[in-house]
Amino acid sequence: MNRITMLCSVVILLGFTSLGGANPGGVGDGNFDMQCGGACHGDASQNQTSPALLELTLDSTAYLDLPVSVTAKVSGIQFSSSDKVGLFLITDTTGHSDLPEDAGWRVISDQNGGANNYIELAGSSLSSEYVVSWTIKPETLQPTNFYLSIHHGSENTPYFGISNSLVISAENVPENLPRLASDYSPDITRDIGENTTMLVETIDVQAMTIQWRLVDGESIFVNATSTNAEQWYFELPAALQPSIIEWRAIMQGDGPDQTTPWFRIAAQEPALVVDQLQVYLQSMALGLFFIGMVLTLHNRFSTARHSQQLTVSDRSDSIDEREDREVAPIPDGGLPPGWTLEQWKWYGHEYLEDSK
Amino acid sequence: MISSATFHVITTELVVGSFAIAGICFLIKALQIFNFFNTATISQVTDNTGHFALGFGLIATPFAIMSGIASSPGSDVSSPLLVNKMFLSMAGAGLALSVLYARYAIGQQVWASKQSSLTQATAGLGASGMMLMTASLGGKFTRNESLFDIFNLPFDIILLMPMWATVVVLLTGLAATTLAVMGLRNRSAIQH
Repeated sequence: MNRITMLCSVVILLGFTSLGGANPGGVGDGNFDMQCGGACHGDASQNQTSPALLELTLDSTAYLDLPVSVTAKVSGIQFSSSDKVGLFLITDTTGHSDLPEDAGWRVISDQNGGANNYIELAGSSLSSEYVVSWTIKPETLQPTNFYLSIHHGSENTPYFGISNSLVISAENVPENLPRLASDYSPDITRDIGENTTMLVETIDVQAMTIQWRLVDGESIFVNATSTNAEQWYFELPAALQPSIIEWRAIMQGDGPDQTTPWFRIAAQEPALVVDQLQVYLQSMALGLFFIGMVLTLHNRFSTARHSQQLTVSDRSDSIDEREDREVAPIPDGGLPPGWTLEQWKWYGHEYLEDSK
Repeated sequence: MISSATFHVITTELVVGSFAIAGICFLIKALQIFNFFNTATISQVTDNTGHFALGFGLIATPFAIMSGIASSPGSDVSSPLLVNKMFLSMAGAGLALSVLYARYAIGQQVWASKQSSLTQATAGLGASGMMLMTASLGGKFTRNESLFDIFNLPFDIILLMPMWATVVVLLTGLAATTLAVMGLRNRSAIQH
């Protein structure tokens, strides 16, 4: 019993080792602060300063409640063996409460087709420059400091870097400015194989042209159709494989023409909608079913074999008993007609009994 | 300290290697039923090696599952491949457990009759096959390619039973397992 307890304890302890491991392959995109849940990269006792050059720029004037793009340029990255680099758009350098949301800015879309302040890039070159952008929306007029932070690894060392601050002050929206509705959020994902109708809600817009393209592909211009006042739509073709389309709207009205930042919509495999509990239960049911089936078969065959052994044993006991029994004396006139000696050995007693 | 992804590679290699050896041994045991390789030495070696490898693979399996969950980008069952992986691994683990328990409870007599030998060898082969398919699905999920691609298996289809059917199968399995274990234990006690 003690050995089993010891073995179970060791197994449980070993099981926990994987949960505290490093993540050289990244953790996936998400909304993370700069410390990233206490990652090695954010630990001053373990990390080293990244040699990467980081630059953050604002693409156009930021207006309250209107989306705007922030572009980050990264160069001189030393890639880890897994060729992953993590980039953060943050608003503070203390390592906590540094998400754009914490400063009153909302991330509308990111480079990878999500809406996260942390994204991971794949690559392998030491010299290439990477340009990524986030579309964000200010919900405050307070000037905000933005930073670009980088996490990457090389030769078993976690690297960390942070850019200089970029101060962004949002302005009040001028009158008659053709613009997106303040509560408008574009779709950022769609299923593969489906044509997509994109709706755009606007204010003070009289005509709208849409420019869309596959990432790094050629641009295509289409005129958006107005459904009613300040509602427009346009079609995006179905994607045959996972891909990202960038689009932006060029809006015309009484005020000066405005162009929105690039929005991204990612085509993904349709999400699997399945009851997790049902999957786990069915897995357990399958396991138990096979255990029960095999053991029941073994039990059955074992029972049959056991009965067979008992029968053979009984028969041999009965033969032994009969052999031990005294053979009936052969009558004076010899064996009865038609009888053999073997038959007499077994049934002679009965013959004599019947003859009496 | 190693990452959960690397630990997952180590444990899955242990699982796959062990189950592959077990599979070869149970294949030879199955052939012996039809009088191929039917010598006492081969019989004993494959019996011992097959069950030991199966047991070792089964011990390594929970580590592979835990490290796999820790290293995957999400915690949900988000793909048909992952659902099928879970079904196959649990079915394989169930078969492996039953093979080991039968060998423990019945002893070498498990090979005494043709039916019993066939059951044991088939279950052992099934356990190995399902575990190897599970590992193959892992490759399919992460790299979108696998050695088993040549078989063109429909891993993107999920056979999900209704909840009531799942509960029926679960209870049937539980009852059958309990009765069979009790029967085998009683027989074992009588024989000893």
